[in-house]
Order: sequence, then C-alpha cells, then structure tokens
Amino acid sequence: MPETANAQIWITSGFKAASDGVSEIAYCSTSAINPATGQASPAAADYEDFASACSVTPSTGAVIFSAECPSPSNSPYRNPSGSPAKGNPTGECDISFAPQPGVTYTVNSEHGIWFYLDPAGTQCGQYIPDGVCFSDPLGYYSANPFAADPWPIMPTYSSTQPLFTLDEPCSTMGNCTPQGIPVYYCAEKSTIFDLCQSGYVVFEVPFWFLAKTSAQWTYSPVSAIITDTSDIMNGNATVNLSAPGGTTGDLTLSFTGTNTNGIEIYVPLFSELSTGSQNLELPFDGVPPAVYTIADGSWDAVLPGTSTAQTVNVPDYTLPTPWTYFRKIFYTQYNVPHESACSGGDKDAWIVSTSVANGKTTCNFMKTKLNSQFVAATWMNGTGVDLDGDTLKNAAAVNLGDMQSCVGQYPHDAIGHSKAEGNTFEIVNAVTGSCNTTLIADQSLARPCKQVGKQCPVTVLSGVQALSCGDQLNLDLGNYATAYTRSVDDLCPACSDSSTFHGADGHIDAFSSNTSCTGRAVKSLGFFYTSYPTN
Amino acid sequence: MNSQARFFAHKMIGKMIGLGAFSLQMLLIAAPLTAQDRSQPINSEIRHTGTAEIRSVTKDSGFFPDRQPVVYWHDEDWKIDLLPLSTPDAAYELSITSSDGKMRIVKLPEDYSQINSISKTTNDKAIVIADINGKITAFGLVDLIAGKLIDNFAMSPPSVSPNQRFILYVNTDYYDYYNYRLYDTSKTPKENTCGYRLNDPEHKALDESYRGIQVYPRKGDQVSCSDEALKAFEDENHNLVSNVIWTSDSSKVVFADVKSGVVSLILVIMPHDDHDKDHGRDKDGNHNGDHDRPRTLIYSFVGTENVCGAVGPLGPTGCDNNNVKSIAWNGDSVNVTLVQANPTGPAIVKSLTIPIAKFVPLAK
Repeated sequence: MPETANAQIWITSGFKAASDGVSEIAYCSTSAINPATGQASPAAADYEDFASACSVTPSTGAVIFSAECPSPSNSPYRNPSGSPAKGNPTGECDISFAPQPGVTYTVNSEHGIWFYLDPAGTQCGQYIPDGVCFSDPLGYYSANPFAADPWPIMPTYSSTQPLFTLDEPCSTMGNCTPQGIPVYYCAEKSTIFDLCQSGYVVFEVPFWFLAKTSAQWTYSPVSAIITDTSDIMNGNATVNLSAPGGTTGDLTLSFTGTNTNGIEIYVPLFSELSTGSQNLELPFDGVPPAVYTIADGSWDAVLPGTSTAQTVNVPDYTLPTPWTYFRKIFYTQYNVPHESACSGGDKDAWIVSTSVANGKTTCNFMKTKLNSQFVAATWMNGTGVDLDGDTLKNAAAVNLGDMQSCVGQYPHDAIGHSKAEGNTFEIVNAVTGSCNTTLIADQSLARPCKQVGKQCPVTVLSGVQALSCGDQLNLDLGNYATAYTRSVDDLCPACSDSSTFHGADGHIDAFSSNTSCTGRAVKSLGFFYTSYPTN
Repeated sequence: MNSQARFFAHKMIGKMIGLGAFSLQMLLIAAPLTAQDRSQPINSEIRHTGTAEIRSVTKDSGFFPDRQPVVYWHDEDWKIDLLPLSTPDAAYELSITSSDGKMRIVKLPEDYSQINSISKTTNDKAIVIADINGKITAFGLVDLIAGKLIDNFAMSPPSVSPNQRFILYVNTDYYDYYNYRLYDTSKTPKENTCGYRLNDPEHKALDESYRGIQVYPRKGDQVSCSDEALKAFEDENHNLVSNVIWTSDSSKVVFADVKSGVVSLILVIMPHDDHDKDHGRDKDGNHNGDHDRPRTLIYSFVGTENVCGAVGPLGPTGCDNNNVKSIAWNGDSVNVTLVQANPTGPAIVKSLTIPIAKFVPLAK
C-alpha cells in the first residue's frame, strides 16, 4: 500500500579493485541500501526488485559487457533471469576486465525498479474494470497517457570521477504520490461509446526506469620503481612513483651492502612523496660504509579518498655499478715545497747518497745549508725542491734513515728519523708516487698504508676496502654534487693512524700544487663524503 | 687568498687590534666564506673547569688554518689569549696576563699553523696544542712566569690529562718506530727525555723522537732509556685503534692498541712522585726511580674474545680501528665494545667489562 514518499533509492556507477589484485571491476547498482549507513530503506519492502545494467567503454578498444547485464543498450529491463543485476535490496551488475595503463574507462549505466502487483480488486483508475494494478508506494512513477509521448524524460548523470552515487528523489521521474498503476489503460477513448479507440489500449509492464549514470576511471597502477642510481656516489637516487593523481605516501628504501665486518643495510625514509619521478637525496650521515649492490623497499601509498595506505613493494633493483661508499673522509694536503717560497734563515742539512765498494754499501753525507723552513717542510711532506732545482727526498722515506740502511753512519747532528725534525735528504730525479707514476698536482691522492718493516701495506679504508693504484674517488661536500674527482697514485703512511682522522672515517692525503713551505698556506681539502664514481 | 683579500685581512686585523677585540669569534675573518667553508665549519667551544673559562677548537673539527677561531684560557691567576696574526705569514703569539696585571707576549713557533687549545698546568705553565699540517700536531710548553716557550716538539694528536699534568701521545715517524709516550709537565724537558740518537753520544740533544717516557711497548722492568732497550721494539707493528680515555682524577689512562693482529687494552698508571718528594728532586739527578715512572699493564683479547682475523663477507679481515667501537671507564673496570666480522650477517658486536685486576704487567 502507498506510504509517505521519500527518496530512498540509490543509483551508482563506479569502479572497484577485484580480489585478484590484477583485474578491475566496473559496476552499476540500484539499491535500497543507504551507502552511508548500510541500512535498508523502506523502499526495499515497497518494490519487488532493483535493477541495473551497464557496459564499459574504454578510451581505446571495444565496449565491454557482462553476462550479468548483457543488454547492448544497457537496459536493466532485459537483465537475464537470476542475474545479481536484478535483486532486492540491491541489483548490481559487475563487469570484470583487465585494465591497461593509461586507458580511461567509462561505465555507462541505467537503473530501474520492479513493481509489486497490488492485491486483486485494487482500484487504480484502470481502463478494464477487472484489471490489475502495480504498486508504487513512493511515487517514483509518472506518465501522461494522453500526451504524444506519455513518458517523462529519463535524466542522465555523468561524472568524470571513478565513483558516482546519487540518492535519487522520487520527483525525478515520478510525482512522489503513493499510487497504483493500471496495467492497462487507454491512451485515446472513443467520443461515442466511451470505448477505447482501437489500437490505443496500452499494456504496462511492472518496471520503471530511474536514470542513466556514468563514471570514469583511468588506470594508473600503484607502483614504486627505482629507475636511476647513476649518481648515487653523490647520494642521489631516482624513484618513479605511479598512482592516481593526488596519491601521497612514505617511501622506505633498503640498500644492502657488505663491508669487511659484515652485511650492512641502509634504510632511508622519505616522507609524503607524491606521484611521478622523484629525485631522492640519501642522508649521507646515516649510510654505513659498505659496497652496496642491491636495493628494494616499499611505498605506503594513500590514494585520494582513502585513509588507509596501500603498501606496494619496490621491486629488487641491482645497482648497475656497485656503490662503494667510504663515508666522511678527512683530506689533508701534501705538497712539494720550493725553497724559493720559504722564509727565514738557513740551517745545517745533509745530502745522503750511497756507494758500493767490495760488496758493501756505504752511506755518504754532504753537509749543506738549506732554509730552515724548507728543511722542515720537505721532511714532513717527503719531497722538496731546493734553490738549485734539485728534488730532495726525506731520507727515511727512501730507506736511508739513521734507523735503516744507514744506521750508525750518520754524522753528528744529522737526523734521519723524526716526525718533523729530520734534516737529511737524498737527491732524486722526479717526484713519483708509490704507484710509480708522476704525481699530478691537485689530482693525485695518497692512500693510507701502515709501515711494516720496509713495506707499507695498504690499509682498509673505513672498513670497506683498500684503495688500489689508479682508483678514482668522488668527493662530495654533502651537497649532493661532485666537488672533486681524484685518483690514487701514492701511499700515505701517516693516514692509517686513527688519531689523524679528525673524527672522520678515514684519512687521505691529497697532492697539492701549492709550493709553499707552511701547512698554514697549503691547508687541507677538508671533509668529504667519499665514494667510487658510479657513472 | 688573493691580494685583495690579503689587503682586507690586514685592515681587519689592524682594526681588531686597535679595538682590543679579543672577543671576536674568529681571528682570521679575511675572505668571505666559500660554500665549501660554510659546509665545513671549524667549531670552537667554551668550557669551565674550576675558576677557569677555556675556549678551544672543538675536537675533530679538522684543519682549516685560515679560519682560526678564538682560543684562550682565563682563570683567576692567568689570562692566556691567542693574539690575531699581525700578518698572514707571521708566527702566532700568546698574550699572557697575570693576576697582578703584568702582560707578556710569547711568540710561538712559526710552524704552528692552527692553534687548537691552550691549557694551564698546576705549576704555572701553559700547554699549547697546535696543528702543523693536519697530520702532525705540535706540543708547546710555555713558562708563564718567565714568559717564554720552554719546550716544543711534534707528535701525533696528543691527549692531555684532565688535571693538565700528563700528555699521552703516539711517537712515530711512520717508518721506523711507533710507540706511546707520556710527557709530565711537572718535569723539565730534559727530565722528559728518554733515549738519544746514536750520533749524540754526549746526550746533548733534546730529540723529538725521544721526548717523553715510553709507556708502550716496553719491557716490564725497563728502567733505562738506553737505545738498546728502546730498539728492542722497533720491529713491532703497533697501531692506536681507539680514543685515549683518562679517569677523571687523571690517575690512569687506557687505550686500545693492535699488534700482530691482536687487540689489547693498554692501561697506564700515572707516577706518584713519592720518590722525589721524599728525597728531593735534584739530590741524585736521577728522576727515573720506580715511583717516578708510569706503570703499564695490558689486557689482550685472545681466544674467544679475539675479534681480529675473522672471515667477513669480503674475505679474511685484518685488525684495525673498525674492530674497536668504544672504550669507557666504569669504576675500576673498563667497558669495551668490540666488533667481529660475520660473513653472513651484520657484524658481531661484543660488549665486555674488563676489571683492572685482570690487566697484567708487561713482560720483563
């Protein structure tokens, strides 16, 4: 029986993820369930069934139908018997399909309701006295049998969003008056006998259209992929984040590497990243020194209109070139001081040379005068050029020190072992590093080694690995850019002593073009985050 | 520094001296800081000990001599300030002002490129720690009353005891010898000399490499400073692999050393000077009696405690500073955290507590 009319039927077009995690489901529904509360409205009892029919039109490709609602014109009236597209309190048609990235899908839907028959004998103005009536308690139906087109225009609601739901009012297609609807009525009566004009008896079906709706969805798969680590030596990595526009989320990367002591895993976190190609700067100070070869991670993507993050894994990524990272290294500088650049007075110094007679090596000493500042600078740096243009070498560095092969032969006041007070030198032909290559100013580096007897084995830098001759190093101040690229050409016996690290993770001596005699003028390069180049 | 910047520096320094501006944060504000300078600040810090206010370069700030920060020691008896350079190439000077207002200027050696700290001993001397070139540190001892430098030599970065009396440092030329020495500022430079060069038979030279008392390696019963005694350890391959940690009362110091692939804790107990007090320092000219010398004890991490030489992911490992994570005093024990290689997972971290009673004297 008729009730108070209210809008209590919801029509929907939309898309939702399939349970297989791969497919997408386009759907249309007509329902007496209030989506906000999950509760059924009185319409569930007022109408026999709710029906929907829809199809999906992709931006490229053919229209997709569902067996649940196969009508080419999306007519829910033609839904097959037993289909979930016709039901109470909901009739929903699902169209499952495999989405293609970048393709826009439009679901086009029609919605309708099925009426109950009124009890026999119910009078509803029917043309045939003993005819029957359909029940429309909420007044969704209306018609003007005497108009040229007796039916009202069915509204169309189009949305570019992936979900469209409308609580359709009864006034849209009806008169909101509880009513019975005659199954037969006369569209045009005879003026003489009050009979229906031949051919104008209308037979009504117990179904009524409500509206057409549509919704749109573009497939933007949620993914996070590391795409570039060619500049990871400067802490830069690029990740491509794909998801519907407006998606944001925290990205966690995980770099796995090894150093001499074990496996290291570096896990930087980047907050609230949006979609697109993201250039990430890895916080240097948190990176354990190691050789990193692989990376993965996860992105907790929060899609628009959702509050729960969808976690997607970053696929395993093998760095094209392993990232050998030594952490922050302190770079002092050494040079070849020139006596002409020194100041102050002269002091005694000795030039040592060797001669062999009768199978016995003899150390020969020649006393000379050299600038006092030059003597100290040449001893501490290992090499210097005097006013005559001769290249002088620290005697202890060439095994001619007074605790080495010339032990017991040093003249009074000649010093052949000391940190800073040595005054005995050998004349050499050229400034070469331990790698037997000519040192290049402002380019060559001396790697740490630890003297053992006459040898100076290379020590492991930062617990990662020992540097080799010719190795290139990338020096970054911490601003994610290369400050210098330098090459390993020499050894530094003083650089393996942790007391010279200045709190850094290692120590390297850089060969400077400065010819000054004081450390104050030569200075240091400073602290640099150090890696092997990766591009 | 370009010539224009140098000129600016001169003008600035002249103005600073004219204003008596010792409170400036940096003594060489010559050129605008570059991006690299800004990214690598050389920090200084102020601390207080008793009545003293001390400003020094923060440890591990690096070597940036063109950005020398203000450094001083001020207490109720002495105000010791590092003066701004008169010219960029000049030697640094100390301004020393006693409580009665007398001021002296003491010139420091020319090779002192960056002055890191000034501290005052209990017997009116000042310890100056300076950097020569970022690798080699200089130690200077200034007689505050006489107003002159009385000792100066190069060393690896030293560790000064909390009471400013002792200085422990690595003595090495990185070619022929590597040992740990202790300098006692209560004694003269001559008294702080142990050993002489072969070509100095009259023992006249105050040689840098023989300054201080060798505390390790040495023989347990070693009393002489003869060349023979010291040369006995020339071939040993030592390396400092930790910070040097003092007790708060300066009576003991501990550090980690590696020799032949074994990590050891080296404990040095400071001398008491009882001998000198009882018998007079100058009576027999020998200040190397039993009580005048530091005592050295050792604890080696061997057997199950050995963390060196294990196989890591990259192959067999050595033994270096990466095997010693930290050392700290814990009453009469030493807490140490060691790191051992693990070929299949994260490094193995071992935390151990070693009571002093477990340390043993050095072998005789």
